[in-house]
Amino acid sequence: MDRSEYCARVLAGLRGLSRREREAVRRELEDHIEDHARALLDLGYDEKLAEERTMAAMGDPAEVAREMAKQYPRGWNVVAGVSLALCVFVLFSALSSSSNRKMIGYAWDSIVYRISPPGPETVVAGTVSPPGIEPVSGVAEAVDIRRTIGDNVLRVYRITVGTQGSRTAEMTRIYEGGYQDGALAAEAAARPEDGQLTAEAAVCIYHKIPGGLVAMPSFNELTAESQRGDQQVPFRRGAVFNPMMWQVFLRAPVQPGDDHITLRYEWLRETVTVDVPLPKEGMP
Amino acid sequence: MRRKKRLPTRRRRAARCAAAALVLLILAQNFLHTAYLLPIQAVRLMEEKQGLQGSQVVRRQWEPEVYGWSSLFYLTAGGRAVSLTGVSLTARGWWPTHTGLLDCAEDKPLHAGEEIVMLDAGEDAENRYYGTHLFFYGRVDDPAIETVEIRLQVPPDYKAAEGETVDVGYYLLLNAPIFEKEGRRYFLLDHRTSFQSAARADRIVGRNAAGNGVTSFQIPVTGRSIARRAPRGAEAGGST
Amino acid sequence: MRKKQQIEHTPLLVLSLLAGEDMYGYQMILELARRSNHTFDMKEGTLYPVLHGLEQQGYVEAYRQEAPTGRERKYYHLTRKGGEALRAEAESWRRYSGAVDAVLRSSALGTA
Repeated sequence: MDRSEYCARVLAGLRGLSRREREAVRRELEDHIEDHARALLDLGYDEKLAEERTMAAMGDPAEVAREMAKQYPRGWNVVAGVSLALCVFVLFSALSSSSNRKMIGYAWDSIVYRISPPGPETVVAGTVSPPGIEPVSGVAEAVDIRRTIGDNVLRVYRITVGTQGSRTAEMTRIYEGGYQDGALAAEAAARPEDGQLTAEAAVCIYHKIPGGLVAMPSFNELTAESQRGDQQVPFRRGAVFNPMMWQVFLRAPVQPGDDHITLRYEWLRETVTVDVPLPKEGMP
Repeated sequence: MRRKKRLPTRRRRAARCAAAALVLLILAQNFLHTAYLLPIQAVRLMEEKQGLQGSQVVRRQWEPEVYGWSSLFYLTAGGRAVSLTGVSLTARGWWPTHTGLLDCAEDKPLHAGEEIVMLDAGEDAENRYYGTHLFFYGRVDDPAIETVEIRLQVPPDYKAAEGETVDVGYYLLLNAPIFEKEGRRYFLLDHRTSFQSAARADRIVGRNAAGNGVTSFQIPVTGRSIARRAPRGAEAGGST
Repeated sequence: MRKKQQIEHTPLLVLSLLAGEDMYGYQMILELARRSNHTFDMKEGTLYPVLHGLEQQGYVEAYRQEAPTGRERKYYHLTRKGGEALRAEAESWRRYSGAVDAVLRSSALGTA
């Protein structure tokens, strides 16, 4: 019996092992035999005798195989197989549905916006607003005010003071027709007079844990008022199709001399107020 | 150069695969919100959307007859609100199906809400809306109140199928069981009617030990939903 | 009797060999023979099932590395878990052999 036959006999008894595991066992045994035989050659044995002595020292290959097979319990392979199948299933079902792919995009946005909120143009492009709506133009200042509301974080990232555009003819028609439900009517209502000085706070709301969903009240129960307590018309517009990060714009009328507006959140008789200072540059 | 190449065992490989699967599963649940491993996660999702934190489960109710064997209703309560959420097991996992939120922040002897679930047999059914499942739930804050009576508005000829009930005019009187959880008292009662009824004007009466009314008001409806049941034997032709 | 003892105690001996340094299989055989003055001359092939069992239990870890002679070999390393097991096992073995010793000594005295 030479070394390759010895190894083959051991491996023959190891049916439950994967090819890689069998190869590892073979290599280890061959290394051992090589070491032993080489040591005997160094002592002056001739090649044939060295091989014979080595094989005798190794012992019965069937017994080695029997003992070895016991050390490779099948259960772990079952666990690994089931886990891999689960991984494939999760990845497949996550990436195969378009709604899931959208959610991945939303999650990404919600993380990006935590780090750097977007500029005004980007925001308008992504909002659910009537066509023709534009941000208040005037003096803008970047701010960074964060407040915790329940499990959500409210972040005010820009304050703008300026004038709003006047109502379009279509807005006036809808508004005066008493049709209050439409977004256009709401927008018309938010522009009561031409030339009214208005402060607009740009706000984003996200869950404190990335991936968490934003609470509806954080959007619905949030209003803005001037420091005298005037609320324009409860005005808010924003992008709510991303359930993990909402952008909201809140407007309040301001007068020369005002130095802040207040955002007010009320839900289940819990009130949170946030004062947002107007731009230091002053009014336009 | 002598470099170490680590050789993992079967057990270690299995542990790695299992850990990877678990991490993927948690990530998928956390970011995709497609469905959840546990029913309580679906309940928590609804609470999160409603802006509630720190609520705990007061009661769990299994409703296999109407919603299938994998449907659970959870009554949960925080300091400011009580909510009732129905969840069921879909092919992907648990998902909320019905939900209602009752604002309990105001100082009142009794808080009550009503969930209306329309039972829908599907478009092709002869009798499409074959009934209504009503849930009455709330919190009892006044210690003097010992019993809670629901006055269910019913048609004159309506007879309840089970339970001991009394007709008073067009009301059917039902006694809501009160139970205690961490020092607060809650109630939950459900009733299935064979008639279809989306607009409700049911009342509630909180009575003291002597049986006198302490408070009485019309129960606000906190949520409406539809429970669809595919007509038996015609699943293939079912539509949403 | 002697054979049975050897099989039972091979894992303990292997762990104690690895307590000093990381070794490969043939090195362990040589070292064992040297330290035990050739008392434990096991069949060399049966060392590997023992090593793989210890590996499965998390007592040792394996890695491949080039030996000083230039050939790549599979080395075994005692893990922390293995070290703790070795201490506990060695302690109980010492107590056992001490007890056996005491009995033998008393009987030897008795016959003397």
